[in-house]
Amino acid sequence: MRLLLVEDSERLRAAVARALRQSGYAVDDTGDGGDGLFMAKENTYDVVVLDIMLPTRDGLSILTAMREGGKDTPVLFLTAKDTVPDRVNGLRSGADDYLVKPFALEELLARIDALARRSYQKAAPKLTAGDLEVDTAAKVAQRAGQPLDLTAREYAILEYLMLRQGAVVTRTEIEEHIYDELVSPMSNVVDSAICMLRRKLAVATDSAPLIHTRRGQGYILDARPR
Amino acid sequence: MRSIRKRLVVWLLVGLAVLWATAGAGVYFAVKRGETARLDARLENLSGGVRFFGSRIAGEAAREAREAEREREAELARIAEEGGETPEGGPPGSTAAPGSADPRGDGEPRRPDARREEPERPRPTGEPDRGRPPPPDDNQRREMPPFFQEDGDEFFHLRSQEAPALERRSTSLGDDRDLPPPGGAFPDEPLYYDSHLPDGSRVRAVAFDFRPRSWRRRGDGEGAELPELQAVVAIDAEPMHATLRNVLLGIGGVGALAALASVGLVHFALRDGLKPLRRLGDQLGEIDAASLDGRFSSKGMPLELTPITERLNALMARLEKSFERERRFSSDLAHELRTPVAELRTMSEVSLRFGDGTADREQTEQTLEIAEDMGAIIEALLALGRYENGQAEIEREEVDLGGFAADCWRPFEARAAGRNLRAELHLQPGGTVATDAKLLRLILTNLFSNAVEYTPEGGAVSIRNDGASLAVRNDAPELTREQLPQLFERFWRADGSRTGGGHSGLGLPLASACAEVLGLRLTAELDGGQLELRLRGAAGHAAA
Repeated sequence: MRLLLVEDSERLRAAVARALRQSGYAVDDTGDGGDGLFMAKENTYDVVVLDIMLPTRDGLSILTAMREGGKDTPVLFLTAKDTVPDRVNGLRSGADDYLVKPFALEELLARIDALARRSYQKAAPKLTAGDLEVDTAAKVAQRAGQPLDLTAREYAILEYLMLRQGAVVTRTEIEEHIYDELVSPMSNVVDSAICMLRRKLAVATDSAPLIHTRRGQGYILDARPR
Repeated sequence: MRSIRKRLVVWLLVGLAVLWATAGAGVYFAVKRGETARLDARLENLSGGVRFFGSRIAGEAAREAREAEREREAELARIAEEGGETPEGGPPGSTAAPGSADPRGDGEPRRPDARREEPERPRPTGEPDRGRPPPPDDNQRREMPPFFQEDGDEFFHLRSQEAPALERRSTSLGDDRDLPPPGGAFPDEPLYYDSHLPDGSRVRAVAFDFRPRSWRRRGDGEGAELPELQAVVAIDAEPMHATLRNVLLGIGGVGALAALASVGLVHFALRDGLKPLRRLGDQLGEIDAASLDGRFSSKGMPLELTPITERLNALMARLEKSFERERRFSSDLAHELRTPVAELRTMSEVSLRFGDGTADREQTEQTLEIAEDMGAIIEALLALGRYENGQAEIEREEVDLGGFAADCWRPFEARAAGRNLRAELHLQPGGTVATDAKLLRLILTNLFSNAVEYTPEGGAVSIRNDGASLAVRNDAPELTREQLPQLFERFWRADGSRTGGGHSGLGLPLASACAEVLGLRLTAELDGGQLELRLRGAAGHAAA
């Protein structure tokens, strides 16, 4: 899951970005409204977290410009403005959620998770594929009742593949959604991470492979035998 | 309190009364003066006639005396010639000589002393003439007719100290009525004065004395010195007094009407005149902190009130601005605090959850608590601002007060137990109120929190509902009666040094503001060391 965080308070941005990265999101962050709009337009994000009061360009106009540019990425407003008209105005402009500062970290994470799931038309926090179960709320996965010990990034790749179950996911898409801008796209991190994930999914000697490779295209997660 | 209206009424009425009385008196005296002057002019005119008349009778008397003397001398001469024989027995001059010449040809020759005994014969003019005073001759009648009518309104009375026989009265006076002279000596100059006839009717009179000049006639030669005469001439003043009485009645009557009219006029004038003032007062009465944007319209305001409305409007504008500033300030402050508090809170949370173990966990937890407290203060402050400004949206629903209060109390049970408080709940279902559950919860939570936190350790707390009213009582041994109103002030705490622990001093102000929004009243009373906070339903909001 890749996420854009536009927040002008540096300390808050750093803390939130850290929490999100630790929760398995790839996070791009900026403190400038203009930059924020550029990034939102250029990249594909699963969720955008926007502050309303920002330098150079405020959150509402970023949102409007995004929607006008055809981006329907879920947007969560994170703001100090709390009146009912503020909230209504935010939601009317096309925001999907609204959280007033100061907030509880748990709540922010939960809301972001919900928005991320929603962008894949999945409302329930539990995803299943055969005997594999992924709880997106608790960020844990288990296979045949056996918990899997995954790093945050491995979990994120698994969750993303689960969300797009049965569809081919390109390497670029994985890079875009799982890795933030700091990762060089030329590296083979995706391949090695997939390799590691396959190894961990094989909890028993008779476990059916779940992640399949489509040469020249990418990967597909499918529980149905092929 | 003194009423402008009352003062104006008194002043105007007293002023009008004085003005009216003065004007009336002025008119009365002017009329009286005019009338008197008219009478005096007539009197002066009459005086000339009387003077003439007096001169003539004095002259005639002197002449008759001289003729009698001459006759007597002639008689004596004849007697002397005839041998001293007297033809008649009477004393000389005691009877009129039948053949004696009447000097003027229109009267009878008389001796002065015989006048009273010989009444005047009726004159050809046919007037009744029962009076004994000597009859006036035709000239007199022509000259001074009213004197010689019995019911005439002009009178004269001639007297002489030197020759009492010359006393004359006008016919109008009758024969036994005197015109009283003015008190004191008879004046040399004519003296005008008010007097009475003996029958009491009022007259205007003039008194003067004069010495007729010698009566000269053809062949009379030099006249002797004539006696001094004293004359009083009078005119009936009753018509004048009647006129004056009418004037007085008129003034009084019109005055009474004017007084009545004045009362009405003053009443209406004041009511109309003070109307703008009352309107201004009404407008002022409608102003409170929530309606400072209203302005007094100077349209239709009288000129005198325009400076007041202008000043009031300027004052209102300043008040509104400062209210606005104050509201914005606390709201801005709270908003400005949001981001730093969010930073603080998020950083401590991230450190606790995702930290690498370098930070002191216990301290970070405390930091998080502080951040949470600060967040609560900000929320309370903003909520307070919203409710005090009446910006809250209310959704009324039926709430059972007893059950609702018990439900709100539950979260406080642990804290109360932790502080060894004896909590007594007397909550009966049945007190249903139509209210906003969210706001009511906010009120009750703040009341309970206040009771649980500020009751001394081991103290008692009781919560009781009575229909649609609810009372929270708790021990408050240090609270004084003077401090009660301060309970609802922002940031006030009984113990000023006690800070932290999430007690911002905003709970009760917030509860009170919410109550006001819901149309309820929150009151505080101190009774035997116990504080009772009572939430009462205002009429119309509390259902039975």
